[in-house]
Amino acid sequence: MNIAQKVEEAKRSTYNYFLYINKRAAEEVEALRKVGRCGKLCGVLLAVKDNIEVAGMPITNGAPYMQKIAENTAAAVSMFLAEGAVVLGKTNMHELALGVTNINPHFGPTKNPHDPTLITGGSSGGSAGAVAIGVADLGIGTDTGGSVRIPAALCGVVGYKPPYGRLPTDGVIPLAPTLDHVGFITRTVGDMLDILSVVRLAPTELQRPKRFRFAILMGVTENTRHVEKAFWKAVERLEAIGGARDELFLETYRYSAARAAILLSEAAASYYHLLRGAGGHMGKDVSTLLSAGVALPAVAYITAMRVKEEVTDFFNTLFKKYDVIVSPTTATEAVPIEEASHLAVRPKLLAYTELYNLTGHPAITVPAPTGGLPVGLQIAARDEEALFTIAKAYEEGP
Amino acid sequence: MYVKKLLETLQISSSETEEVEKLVEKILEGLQLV
Repeated sequence: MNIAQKVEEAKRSTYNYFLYINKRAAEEVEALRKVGRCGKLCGVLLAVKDNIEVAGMPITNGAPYMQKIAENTAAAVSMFLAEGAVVLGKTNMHELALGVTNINPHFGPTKNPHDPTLITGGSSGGSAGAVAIGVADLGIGTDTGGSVRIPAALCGVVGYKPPYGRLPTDGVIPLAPTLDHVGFITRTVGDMLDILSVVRLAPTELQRPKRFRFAILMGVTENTRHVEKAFWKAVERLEAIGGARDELFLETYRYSAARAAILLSEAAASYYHLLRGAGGHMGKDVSTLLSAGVALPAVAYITAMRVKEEVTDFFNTLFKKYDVIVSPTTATEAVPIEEASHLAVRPKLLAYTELYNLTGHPAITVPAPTGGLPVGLQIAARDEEALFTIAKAYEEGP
Repeated sequence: MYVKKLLETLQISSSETEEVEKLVEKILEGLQLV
């Protein structure tokens, strides 16, 4: 598809990925070419989550009561525009980015590209879906507990959360600044490296590893049979490319509570006035979570921040022994939209990803081998070079 | 008491208040604070 066809496809699509489409995308690329300003990312189409500002385009944060026209472009977007990339559109998301199903009560749910009756996951579900169906080349999203990696895993694409603080967050609507990351979605690890290396967010040259050590996170939660099967096939593939494995049993209940305390306390502080003024317009899941953040005592937040330090130190120690730590990205494959609001779904989607929002380590999801619905393999590492070295070798295979 | 008052200012329903209390309790338990 050329750019004009991709714009048409984005407009025609019934998956509900876009809240705004830039109908002039093809003309903008042509104009850049004419003046010789189309750089190394000439014509790369961006699907930008609707909590990230692009000057002159509407921004809602997944909430119509927050809609405005953005005056500036976020640095996390402008670095790609400077190389000739163009924004295809702003993508549908979980309301306020405070959820992982992408069932948005105002704009409707985003539909899984592999089965439209299923969720995409979220909260960057529109960006993941747009990349998965081939209309966008790079999805730009945010990840506060797994919001880039979860939808990427459920849609069968690659989702990358850089280390904490690696990217500027100006022009990105904050949810919980201690945990917020900007992240990226592409169809392959190769695409991710090709695009991110241009803006110096990924290494340009990688040596294929001869031997490496990896740990498998065990005991975190119970996986579905489908996830379990695909995950162990992915582990076999890691072994086939030179990985030597250990199994690491981890009780994460306290870590999960710590992330929730930080997320909800900071989100409640960000949105308290909105909750008082527009609470009645919010989806019930969002207003319940924000209200819980209002009700949490300061001792919970401070304790949670101490747990965050403790788990970060623990993982820093682990990364001295292991090159990478792996797990399924989510404990379940995509679930039906109708059933996704069930309370049991949320922890199954978050259990593995949220750990690295607490520790700040880089993490990526890559598709695991499966004949059915997509399953993600999550790889986390001490730094980006270690991460991409293993992820690229995994994608290429033995 | 202050929590109840705070939640009253948010004008949420009593069933939602109950859910909020459960969620807060679960987090406090997870942090071993109760």
